[in-house]
Amino acid sequence: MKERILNMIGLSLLAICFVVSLGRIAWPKSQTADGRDVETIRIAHWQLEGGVREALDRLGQEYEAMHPNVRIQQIPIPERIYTNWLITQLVGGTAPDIIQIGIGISDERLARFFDPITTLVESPNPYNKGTALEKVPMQETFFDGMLGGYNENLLEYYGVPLSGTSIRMYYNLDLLRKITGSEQLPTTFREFIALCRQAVDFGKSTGRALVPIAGSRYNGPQLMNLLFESQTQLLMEELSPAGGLMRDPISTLEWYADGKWSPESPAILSGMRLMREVAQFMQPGFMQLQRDDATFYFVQGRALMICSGSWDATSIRSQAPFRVGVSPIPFPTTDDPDFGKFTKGGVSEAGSLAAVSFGLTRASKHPEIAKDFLRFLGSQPANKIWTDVSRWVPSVLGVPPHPDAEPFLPITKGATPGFALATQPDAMRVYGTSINDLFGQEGSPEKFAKSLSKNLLDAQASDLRRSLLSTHMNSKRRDTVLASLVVQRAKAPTDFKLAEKFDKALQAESLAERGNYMAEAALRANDAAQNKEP
Amino acid sequence: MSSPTSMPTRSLAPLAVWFLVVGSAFLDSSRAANPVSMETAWEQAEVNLFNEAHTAFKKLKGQRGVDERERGFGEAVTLLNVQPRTPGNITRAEKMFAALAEEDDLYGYLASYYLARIWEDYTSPPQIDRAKVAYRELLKKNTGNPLVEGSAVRLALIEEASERDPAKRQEVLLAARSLAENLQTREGRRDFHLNLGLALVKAGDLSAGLEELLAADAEGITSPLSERGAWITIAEAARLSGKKEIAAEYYRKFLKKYERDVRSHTLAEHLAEIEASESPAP
Repeated sequence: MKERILNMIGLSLLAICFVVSLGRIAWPKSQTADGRDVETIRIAHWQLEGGVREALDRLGQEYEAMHPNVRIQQIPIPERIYTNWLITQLVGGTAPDIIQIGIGISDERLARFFDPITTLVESPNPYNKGTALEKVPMQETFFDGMLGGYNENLLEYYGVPLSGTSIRMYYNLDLLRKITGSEQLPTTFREFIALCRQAVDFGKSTGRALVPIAGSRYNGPQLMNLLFESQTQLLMEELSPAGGLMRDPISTLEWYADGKWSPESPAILSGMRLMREVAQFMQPGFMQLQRDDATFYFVQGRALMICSGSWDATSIRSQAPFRVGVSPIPFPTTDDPDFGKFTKGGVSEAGSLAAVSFGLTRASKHPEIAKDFLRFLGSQPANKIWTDVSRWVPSVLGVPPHPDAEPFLPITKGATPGFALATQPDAMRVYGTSINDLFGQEGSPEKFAKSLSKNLLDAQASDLRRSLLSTHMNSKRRDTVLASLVVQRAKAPTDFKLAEKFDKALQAESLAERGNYMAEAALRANDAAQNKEP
Repeated sequence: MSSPTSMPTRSLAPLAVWFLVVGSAFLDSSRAANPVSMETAWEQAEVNLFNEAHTAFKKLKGQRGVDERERGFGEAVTLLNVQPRTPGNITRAEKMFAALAEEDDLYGYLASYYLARIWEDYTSPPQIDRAKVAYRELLKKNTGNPLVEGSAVRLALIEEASERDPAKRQEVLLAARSLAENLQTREGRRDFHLNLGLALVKAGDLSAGLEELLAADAEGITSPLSERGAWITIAEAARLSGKKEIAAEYYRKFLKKYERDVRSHTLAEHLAEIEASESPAP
C-alpha cells in the first residue's frame, strides 16, 4: 500500500512537471521583479575576440532600456565547435532567435532555417530617426549597400552586418623605436624587408631572441597569399582581355588546363620567391604553429610584427604591454627591382563587404521582436556603440570609426588582386602538403612549383566540381522560386516589388547558369588536357 | 504471482497515452492554425519552403474556387525541390508537367519549359538533345513569357559549351544570334543579348560581343551584379577594339554608379589613358 502511494506521488509529480514543461514550451516567458512578462531574445555568434561580447552586451542593455519587456541573451560559441553546435540547434528546432551567419551556413541551410529580411531592409530603419539616414531605406545605409547581408543565390537579404574587416600589419612600436630609432612604419615592400633585416641584426647584436614577423599556419599565409596575389595581377589581365577584370576559379582552371599558365610560369615563380623571402623572417616551422602561438609571440615582445585581421586588433591591443602600430600590407611597387615586373602595385580593398552579419532563424519564438532588435543593431546609433565599445570598423554610413579602428578602413586605391594558387579545400591540401618544398631549408620556388605541378590541377578541378554541385543545387532551387514569382506576377501585374524581384531573379539565374556551363566546360577541358574520360 | 513492478507499469501505460494525447492537443492548440490558400502556397515556394508549399498545393486539390491547372503546376514545380530529392519525385513531376503541357496557356508553356529543364538538369544522365528540341519548340510558340523566353539563353549556353575550339565557338555563337527573333519580352531579349555578348567577348569576337552587350544594356539591366559585369566588359571590349568614345562613356558610367568596387581604380586609370590620348597635344 505504502509503495502504491509513493508511486502515485511520483507519477503526480511527473504529471505536474509534464504540464509545466508544456506550458514553458508553448509560452516561453519569464517575469521581471515587478511581475511584467519578459520575452527573451537569444543571439549566438562565434566572435570571441576582444570587444565583441562587451559591445553586444552594451547593445542589449540599450535595447532593453527602450523595451523593458525584452531581455537580450548573448550566446558566444567557440569557432571550432560553432558548425556542430549550429547544425544541432537548427535541425533540433532549438536555435536561438538570431544567429551570426557565416561559418557552417550553406545556402541550403540558410534557405531552410533562416527567414529572409528583405522586406524589412527595403524600408527606412525607425531607429535611424533623427539622423541623416532617417528616410533612407535600411539596405542603403551600409557602406557596401548591405551586400554583406545579401545572398546572391537566394536573392534575399538574410543578415544585418555590423562591421567592416581588413588585414593589416601590426607593429610593436616600442621595439620598433629601439631597433630603428623612430616609429616610422614601412610603406613599401623594400622598406618592409629592410626593417626585417634590421630586426634580425638587432636580435643578434643584443642577444635577444627576436623574430621580425610572428607567423603561424593562420597568420603566415594571410600575409604571403596577399603578397602572392600582387604577382598575378598582370598575368590575370593578359589572360582575360576585356574579361571583366575579376578573378574566378573557373577561368583560373580553364587557363591552367589550356596551358596558359602553370606553377612554373614566371609570374607564379615570382610570387613564390616573394613568399619565401618573407617566410625567412618568421619563426622556423611557423606553419606548424597555431594562431594563438603567433599572437603570444607578438604580445610577449618576441616578434616585431604580426599580420592579422582587424578582428584581432582589440585582443592584441589589450594583451600587449606595449604600444601597437598598424599599417597596410607593404606590397611591392611597380618599380621594385625584384618583384615590380608582374605587379600593378597596390591592391584595392574597395570591394570588401561588411561582415559580422546576424540573421533571423525560422525557429524564433518571437520573430517580430527579433526583427526589431535586428533593425536596432543595424541603426546608426547602435553602430556607433558597436565601434566605440568593440573598436571594430563600423558598417553603417556616417558612423565615425573609433580611432583604433581607423587604420582598418578599406583602402580604395590599387588594382584588383590577381588569382591565388589555392583557395578551396583540395587545392589547399595539395598546397599545404607541398609548402615545405618552398619554405624548407632545401626548398625553392622551382622545387615547390614542380611539386605542385603533379597534383594542383586535379585538386583545383575537384574543388570546382564540388562548387558546381552546390551552384547546380541553387539553380534547381531557383527553378521553383522563379515559377512562384512568374505565377504571382501573372496574377498581380501591377505589383512593382514582385516584378522587380522576378526581374532580378531572372538575371541571377541567367548569370548563374552561365557560370555552371562554363565550369562544366573548364572541367571537360581539364579532363581532355589530362587525357581522361570526362 | 506478479512482480513488484508490474502494477506501476500497468498503471503507467494508459497514463502515458493520456499525457501524449493531452500534450499533443495542448501544443497543437497553442499554435495558430495556418489557413491553406494558393497565395500562401506560392509565397512559401518563393521563400524556399518547398516541402510546406508542396503540402499546401496537395491539400488544395479539389477545393472550391481553386484553379486546378495552377494548383497542379504548383504541386509539380515544388516537387522538384521537395526534401529529400528523389528520382521518383522527378519522374512524378515530369508526368504532371507532361499532362499540363498539352494545353497552350500559361501553365502549359511553363510546364513545357520545366519539362525541358528536367531533361537538361534533373535527369541522370542529362538528355540535352531532348531539352534543346523542347526549348526550340517553345521559342517558336512566341509565348511572350520572360521565363519561358529564357529558353534562348539556355540554347546559346548549350551551344557555347559544346565547342572547345575558339573559332568554331564563335561560329555557333554567331549562328545563335537569330534566336533573338522569337523574343517578345524586354527581359527575354536583355538576358539573351547579355549572355551572348559575354560569350562572344570570351570567344574573342569583341566587335559582335560589344554589339550584343550594348543591345542588352539598351533593354535595361536591373541587377547590379549583372550591370557591373556588363558595363566593365563593354568598356574594356570597346577600349581594346579602338572604340574610345564608347569605352569612355561606360568607364564614366561605371565609376559614377559603382565607385566602391575593387575594379574602380583600374578602370579610372584606363579612362585617364583614353582622355589623355584624346586631349590635344600642347
